[in-house]
Amino acid sequence: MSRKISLGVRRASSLLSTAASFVVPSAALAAPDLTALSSGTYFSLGLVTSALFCGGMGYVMHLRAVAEARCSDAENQLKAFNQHTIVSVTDRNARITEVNERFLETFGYSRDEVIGQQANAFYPDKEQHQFKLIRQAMNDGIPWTGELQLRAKSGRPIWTQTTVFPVYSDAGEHVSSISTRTDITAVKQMQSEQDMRAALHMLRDQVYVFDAETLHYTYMNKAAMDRSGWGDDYKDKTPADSVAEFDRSRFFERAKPLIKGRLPQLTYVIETDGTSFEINLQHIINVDGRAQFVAFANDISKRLAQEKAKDEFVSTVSHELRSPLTSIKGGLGLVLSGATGELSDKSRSLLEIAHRNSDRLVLIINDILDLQKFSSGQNQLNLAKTDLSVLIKDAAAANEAYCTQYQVGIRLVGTDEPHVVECDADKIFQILNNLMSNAAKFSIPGDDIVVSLATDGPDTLIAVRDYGVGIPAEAQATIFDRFTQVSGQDRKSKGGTGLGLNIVKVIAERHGGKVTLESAEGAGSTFVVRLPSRHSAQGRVQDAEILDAAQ
Amino acid sequence: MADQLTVLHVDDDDDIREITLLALEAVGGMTVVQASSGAAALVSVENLQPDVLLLDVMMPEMSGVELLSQLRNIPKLQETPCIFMTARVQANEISGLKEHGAVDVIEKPFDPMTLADRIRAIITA
Repeated sequence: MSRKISLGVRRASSLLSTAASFVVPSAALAAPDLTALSSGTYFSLGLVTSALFCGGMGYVMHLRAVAEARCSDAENQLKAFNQHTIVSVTDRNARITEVNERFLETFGYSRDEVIGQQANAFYPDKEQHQFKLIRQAMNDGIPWTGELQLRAKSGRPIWTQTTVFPVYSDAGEHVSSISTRTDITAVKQMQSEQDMRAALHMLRDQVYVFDAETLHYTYMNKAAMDRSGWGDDYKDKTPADSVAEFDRSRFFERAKPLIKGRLPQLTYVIETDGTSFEINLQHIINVDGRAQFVAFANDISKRLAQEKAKDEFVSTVSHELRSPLTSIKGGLGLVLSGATGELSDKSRSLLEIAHRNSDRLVLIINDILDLQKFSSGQNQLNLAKTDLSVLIKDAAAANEAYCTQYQVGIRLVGTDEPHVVECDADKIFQILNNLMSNAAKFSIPGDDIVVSLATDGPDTLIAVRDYGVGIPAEAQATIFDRFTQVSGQDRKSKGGTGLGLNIVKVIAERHGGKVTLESAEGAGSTFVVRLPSRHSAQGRVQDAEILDAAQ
Repeated sequence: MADQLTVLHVDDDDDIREITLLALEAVGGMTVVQASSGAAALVSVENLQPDVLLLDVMMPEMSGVELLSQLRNIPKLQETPCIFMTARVQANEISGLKEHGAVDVIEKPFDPMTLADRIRAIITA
């Protein structure tokens, strides 16, 4: 039994403006991988689609003539076609009705798994829009051609060059669509590798790849070649030819954690020819099992100079602000002390305001300097074993006078026993100082603030609690930001800088920890600083030592 | 060392000199000889045996560090304790100053009411 269908377009199309009619056996439709022509009267679907794929109806007619004349040649062409082209047929509702063997091989499905599926089941999400375009083209009677990424059963992406034709009955009814695809995944991958290599080549950083034993260069990008002046002629060179100060044994000592797989990468700075380079070194094993080093060299001379200039600027600004403040604060202090004679109550009140605000300016300058040092990496942690119980007692003693000023007492909890952790004592003291002075400021006179020390699993918790006004929920999200206070009124009346909690946050994070807040309006606030365990702090020290040794 | 300490104070800032004078003499009960520059200080010490050198660091023409170096060449001042005053308060800046032979560094702004006590505490430590 056979039925007559037409392939092509309902409306004008340059490729198939004269739609040709074929008689296609239903048996052939059911077996599109047919590799033998039945009699020369009929064409298999594979041959038809092959012909279409190869160049349109003229070529189909030509093939038919050739097939009629030379069956064996056509058989060979058909075999070749089925080996190289992925073919599928869908019904008018885009459900798959036929596929060839190549389809099944490429996508890794059995025929049963495929037949009846919607065609877009093989499209990844990002290509679903293409499916819509193809459906639209089929409805409009226009063949669709383009690159399409599909997905194999394993999830592997399959790049295809795809052509889809609508098929019509004599009555002009869209009955099915035929898709022919060529697998271009390998080409795409090669293109992607070439693109990556081209990008690497044009990277501004210098890239060196060298053998992990002989240290002979196997690759240099353009920036590296330009610096060396060797052009492509670098294969017999080693890092010792690039850097006069290169010491082979020291290099291997430095790279030991990489070779042993203890670190994924090393970053260190070298100076050569008056230029500072930040080196990022990695140790990789090629697919052929050969070990190589990959070094990215970034010229950081400008950056270092800029950082130095910035530090100098901040230091100078600080100096220029502090000098006049010395006179302002000093003068006010002396007048207020009575060293220059008695003051009226009104004068004293006004001078106290001025004096208090000059104190605040000094604090702001100090805090800005601290934060600048942290951001520039100057303020490195000086880690040492520290008894937090003692440190908290010291901080409480240092804040006693301040708390008395606000008529607030200090209660310590959990500080009877030594509690030793690896931390920067000065910085943790700064945290305690900031949190305790805040707690005192926002407490109700007569209340205590509670400083407690506890452990939570491997971590250490330092909590500073007050029973004061609390912090409204809407202000809690930004309370650790710079220059943030609950309200301008608080800042005026309490004299804070708006930087203290940000400094607490930065210091806690530098220790690998964090600070959190629990507060409710009218119920006081608890700031909890979580510090990593002694063990992890030591681990960090070890890492730092490895890096230091590497540098 | 006499009961009433004599301080050689050198600072190019007129206002800070005035504040320091009040803080050390009126509040602290010290004798203060002041100079506005390194050159002026070198002249002042010709007829002076100060107990303490209190030197500003950032001064034009001759810095406090350079001045101290020259003062140390004068035999009678080789052992006189020196305290720097500075508004450059970063840790590396302060430790650098101590390496130049200062017994301590007082940061600006200072508290005029306790300045004299601090100086006494430093030189008797």
